[in-house]
Amino acid sequence: MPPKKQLSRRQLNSPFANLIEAMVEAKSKEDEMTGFTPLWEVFVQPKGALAHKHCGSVHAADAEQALQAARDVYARREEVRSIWVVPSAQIIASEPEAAGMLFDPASDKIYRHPSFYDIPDDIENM
Amino acid sequence: MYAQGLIGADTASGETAEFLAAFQARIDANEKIEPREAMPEGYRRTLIRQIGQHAHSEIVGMLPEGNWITRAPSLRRKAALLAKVQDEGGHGLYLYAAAETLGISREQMTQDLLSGKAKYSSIFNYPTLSWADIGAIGWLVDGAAIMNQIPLCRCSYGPYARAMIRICKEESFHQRQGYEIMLTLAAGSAEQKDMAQDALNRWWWPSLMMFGPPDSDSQNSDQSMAWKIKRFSNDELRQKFVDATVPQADRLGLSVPDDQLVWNEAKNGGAGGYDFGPIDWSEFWSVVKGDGPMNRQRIAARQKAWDDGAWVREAALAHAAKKAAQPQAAE
Ligand SMILES: [Fe+2]
Ligand SMILES: [Fe+2]
Repeated sequence: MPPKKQLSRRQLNSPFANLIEAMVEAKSKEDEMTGFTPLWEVFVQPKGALAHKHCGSVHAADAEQALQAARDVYARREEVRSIWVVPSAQIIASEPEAAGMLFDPASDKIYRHPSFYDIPDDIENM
Repeated sequence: MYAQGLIGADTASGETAEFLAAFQARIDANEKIEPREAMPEGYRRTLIRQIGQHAHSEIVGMLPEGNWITRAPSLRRKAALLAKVQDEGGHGLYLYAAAETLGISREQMTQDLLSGKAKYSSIFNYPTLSWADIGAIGWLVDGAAIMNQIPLCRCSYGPYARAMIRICKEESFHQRQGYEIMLTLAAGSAEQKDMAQDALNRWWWPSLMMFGPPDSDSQNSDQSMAWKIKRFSNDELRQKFVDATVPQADRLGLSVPDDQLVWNEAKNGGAGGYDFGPIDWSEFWSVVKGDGPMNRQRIAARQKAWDDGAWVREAALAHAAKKAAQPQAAE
């Protein structure tokens, strides 16, 4: 196993320090897993105009087999238009502990919502 | 199919009272717990065990039905059975993936199944002796699984709840195709009707055992309920299953093999329900501990699949490594 790259939180004094650490961690996890069949995350786009949505994961040695497995496991019935597969180790996720810092500031900005603005009832088409 | 009322869980957790109380508050507020969030070790361990048992049950559950694919009596039945068995394989995969989010590898879970460390539902250790067994399994075993699984769609652990929603959408077809087989046999020749009755006789009691040991014997159930991993007790689900299934047997013109089965007006808070005879728990425990009619064959079949597949897994990884090492071809 190659030596784990060290990046301390002090060096990375930004709200995204956790994300960068997660990236480094994901990489070293990937190295540890040599010999195991890698994990892939599967995103399925249904017919119609909807976006791809995460629906689960599969194990596969490479991308082509991951797509094949994803088709067998997640598209047996659904009307599927397209499938994405992404190596799980490549997903960079925000840290659960950072959720407050990242997302709470949105909750006191009610002026971002249309109902914040007073418009008389007799104004139509607005 | 089929988280059996969890066998042998250890829900003990060593965290501070404050941590456990804060976690419980999230559960009580009906928040979903997601993979990398802080959780008590007992919660993680209980889920790994339960989801693992559930996944193994789906996979081992392919064996008794797979036994009849080549001998299905018509192309319609064969296509349906093939699709059902393939669904069960898919269910196993959704569930393994949900368990993996808790930090156990697929390889480890497979080893635990093959070594006997991990359990799976006792029902799959019974043999499928006639075509009618395929009808009885879809009707009773998938029926019991549905009773068990619907409340799990509201489980507090997000990935497990989401896997269960997918699974429940697929189970209804399984039960209906099984009941249709039973209807056809029950309306057929005297010999066919006897086959259907024989299958019901053999599968009835093992199906009731699928809900797990009686509440009086399930010590860890309370903690699982408090954590909303489990939403109803084993006995509650078993009662629901009996109440739903007896009228379906009547409609087939078959008799449930229990001479103590009787309608009781006072049951279920006055709504009525069936009283039923005692379950042979010594049979249940002997099957769980490995001495059912088919335990050895089931594990041997899984071991063979794992061993026979080894060269494929290795070749696929070697091929992927080789391709990754090659310089990209010029456009
Ligand atoms: Fe299933
Ligand atoms: Fe099923």
